[in-house]
Amino acid sequence: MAGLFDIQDNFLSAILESRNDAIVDEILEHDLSVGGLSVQERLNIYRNNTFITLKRALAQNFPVLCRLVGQQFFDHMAGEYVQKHPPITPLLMTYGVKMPEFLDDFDAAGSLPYLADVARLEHLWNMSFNGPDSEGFDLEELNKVDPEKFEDIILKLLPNMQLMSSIYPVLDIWLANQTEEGASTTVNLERGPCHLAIYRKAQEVEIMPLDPASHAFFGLLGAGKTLGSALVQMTGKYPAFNLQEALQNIMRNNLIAGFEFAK
Amino acid sequence: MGNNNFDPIPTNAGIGLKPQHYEEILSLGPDASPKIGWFEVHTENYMGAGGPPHYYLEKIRQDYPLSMHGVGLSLGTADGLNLDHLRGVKNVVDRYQPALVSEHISWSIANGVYLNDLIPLPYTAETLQITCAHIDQIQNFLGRQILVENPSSYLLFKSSNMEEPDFINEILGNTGCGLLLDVNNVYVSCQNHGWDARDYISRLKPETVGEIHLAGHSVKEWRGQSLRIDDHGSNVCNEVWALYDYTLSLMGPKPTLIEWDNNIPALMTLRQEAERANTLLNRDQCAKNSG
Repeated sequence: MAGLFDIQDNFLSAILESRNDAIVDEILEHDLSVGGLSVQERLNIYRNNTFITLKRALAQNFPVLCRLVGQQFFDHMAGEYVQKHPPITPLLMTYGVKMPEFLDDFDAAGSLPYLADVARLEHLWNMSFNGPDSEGFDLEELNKVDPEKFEDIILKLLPNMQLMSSIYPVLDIWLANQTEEGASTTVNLERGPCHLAIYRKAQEVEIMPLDPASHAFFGLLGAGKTLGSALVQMTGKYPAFNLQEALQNIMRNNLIAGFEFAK
Repeated sequence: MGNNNFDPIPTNAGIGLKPQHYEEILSLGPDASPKIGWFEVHTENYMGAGGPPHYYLEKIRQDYPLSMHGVGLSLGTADGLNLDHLRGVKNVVDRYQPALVSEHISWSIANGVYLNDLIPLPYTAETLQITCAHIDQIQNFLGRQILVENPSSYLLFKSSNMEEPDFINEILGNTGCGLLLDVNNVYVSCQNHGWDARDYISRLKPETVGEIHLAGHSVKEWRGQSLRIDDHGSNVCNEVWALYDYTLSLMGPKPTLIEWDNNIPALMTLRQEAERANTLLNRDQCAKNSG
């Protein structure tokens, strides 16, 4: 008879890959002449429970994706996802981190090329929803900074902020699919690329569309660049970039969590 | 407000906290009748860094005693505990200071994969040693006692050479942890495996039981035989209420949780289930006081 490690390893194979042969020998066979379940059927209860609850977790984490492809297709797709990328942590609130790359390779979803980016947006939304809270920041603190030291400032944006870009208008798609009724709304794919900041100030996640330069600037700040070095990089690539306007936009929307000076 | 922050779980009925009910609980306040004695949460649901789950739990924690019930430590895993997860549990336990912390006598992780289910263990000396070592490790790391819950199951392993209540008693004796006695699980497993539920309960030691769970289950028919599925999606059935009544008659009153995790009903339904448990608890409380 197998030890515990092998029993669990074989049980895992039975659940994820329907390879029951090794585990069935370990499970007590009931007297089937009085009816009831065979060993295979008992294993199926566990397999179904695992798949149903994990597919439900994915449907919760990707509600717009679910609306876009329909419940039935989503169920099929999610089942394949669970098999290919089962969770490696008991925290299911952000389960599905590999959904975008999974969809890129999922042939059956090929007619909807923007699905992967919608999934990316939904995952980042979850990251922001569950991400660190920000303490709140008093803008007066920035006004006190000696103007000569301004370029050494490392500005910290909200700690739950996520950034993404897509060649598709994924925000329009996402907004149109917030309810079942909206799912029939047509989105003009010709509206082209979008750049987004996803963040949470109190309890509500917000999504802000950005122009390409602001998106790049937010990215530099997120990477811990000083204002001075961010400005140098920005003016090289985006000659029309206006630092003052960009900072005003950030302050007006309360996106600052704090700042420090480069050492 | 806030005066019962670190109180132990009272010997009355609590209910499982669900996001659907956050706002209603806050607007009711802790004195609304029928009174909610305490709340239990799934530990893992509060292990994100921030956001609404913490916002609401912080507020509700100020008014009610709290129990944290984990589903992810996988006590019976052969290849060792997930230490990242254990650290996460410690963080959230340190933050909310729950009166009770519990886990399950089962496994859910193999080769690092989390199956999101509570799978039964073979009851052998090897499993006992592994499970006890993990419970010791957890209790040492958290610096406190935990409770472990008896499982529900749909299959048994050939290699088991101990009966479930004996296996549980060995764990409790070896580790000093307490028992979260899930009366619905006892009923479900006994029905599914042809065991005697009253005998099962009578073999447990009343002083080890720190909490009781009550939940609903469903029944499926297969070729003339019924199988009970522990799905926490309905009212507690009459047979389980009767077994609970029997349990209290042996053990005296114990903090009792109404668990309802699927098809979540209106808060009032949970409060009414809790009231039904309170009626039985109060009767036993009176009997204990007068006897």
